[in-house]
Amino acid sequence: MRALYGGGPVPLGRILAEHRRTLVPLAVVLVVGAGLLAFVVMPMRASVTLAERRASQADAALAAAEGEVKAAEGTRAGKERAAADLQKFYADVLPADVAAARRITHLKLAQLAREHGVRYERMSAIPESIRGSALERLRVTFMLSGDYEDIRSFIYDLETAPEFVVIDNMVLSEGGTQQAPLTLDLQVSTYYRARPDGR
Amino acid sequence: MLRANLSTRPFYNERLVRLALVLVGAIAVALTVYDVSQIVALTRRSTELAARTAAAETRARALREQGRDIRQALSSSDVEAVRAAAVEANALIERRAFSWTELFNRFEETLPADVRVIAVQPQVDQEGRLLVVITTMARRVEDVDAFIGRLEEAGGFSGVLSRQEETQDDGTLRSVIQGYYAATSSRPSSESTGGGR
Repeated sequence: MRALYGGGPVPLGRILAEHRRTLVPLAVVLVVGAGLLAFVVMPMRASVTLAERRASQADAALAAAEGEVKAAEGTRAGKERAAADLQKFYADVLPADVAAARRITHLKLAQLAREHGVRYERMSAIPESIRGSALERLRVTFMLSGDYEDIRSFIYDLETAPEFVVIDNMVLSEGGTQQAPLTLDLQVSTYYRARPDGR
Repeated sequence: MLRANLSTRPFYNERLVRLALVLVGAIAVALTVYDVSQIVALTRRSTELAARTAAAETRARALREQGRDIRQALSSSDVEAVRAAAVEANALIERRAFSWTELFNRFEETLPADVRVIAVQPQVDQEGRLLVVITTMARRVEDVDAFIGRLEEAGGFSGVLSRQEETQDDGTLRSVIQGYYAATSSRPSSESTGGGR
């Protein structure tokens, strides 16, 4: 810096010395500020970045855990719904026991055959247990005879009846003469819940 | 005119120096304010993140335990038993829904005059497809072939083949035909659509 009124340069030392009382506190404040920035603010910022990463990982772990619970609850709900549907199927659709099964096969089919003019020749029934199943099966074989249209309408009524009877197989045979009725070997099954005591 | 400054301590521009000092002071104050605000904000953010992390970890731990409890309560054998029972029930319902009347209608539509169906047996194969085994009596092998062709053309049947044929004492041909059958969903009426037995 130059002196006023045409003087030479003013020494910097003189200027600093003359403003020492102001300069020293300012320098202290600047040094402290820079120190805080370098040794406190910057490390804190790094630490917060790390904490943000940890928080994101914790959020991801939480989302995964929520997914696990949701999946487990879904499995539980699915199992409960399936079990309820099965109970309803066993209770409302299938016959309750072998006696009810016999009624809806033996009695009902004989009545249905009579209604359609189909002759009931003979019947045999075998209750069977099904391996690995909670159900038992009553397999019934009928021999019936009648004309084709009567047999067709009998079959239609049987398969549209509310009772749970499954037609497994049928064999139609013609009689010896042109006018002889058709013979129908009909195998049907119905299912009921096995008794827990196995009887 | 004398232009030389003969002062031993010449004046200099005090205002400029003061301005510089004020600028440096402003920088120092700004730096301090920035430092303090950053320390406060970062401390607050750090506390908040620590709390959020701890809460998320605690909740995740609780949820994992809850999930474990649910899975333990659901024993795999119970789930498997229900699944097997549901598969069995569905298979029964599917068999019950099979329409013999519709099948008869199809036979009546497709059966040539010299072919008679004497036995029909539906089965479900390992892939869950409905395989219908039809036993027929025919005069000639051409009639059986025509029946197979018509069954496939009419739709519903696929992969139809005669898997066994045997000429009877009376000269008729007994054939065992099988084909995959995809029944339509609605149950047809009992009325036949015409044709013979």
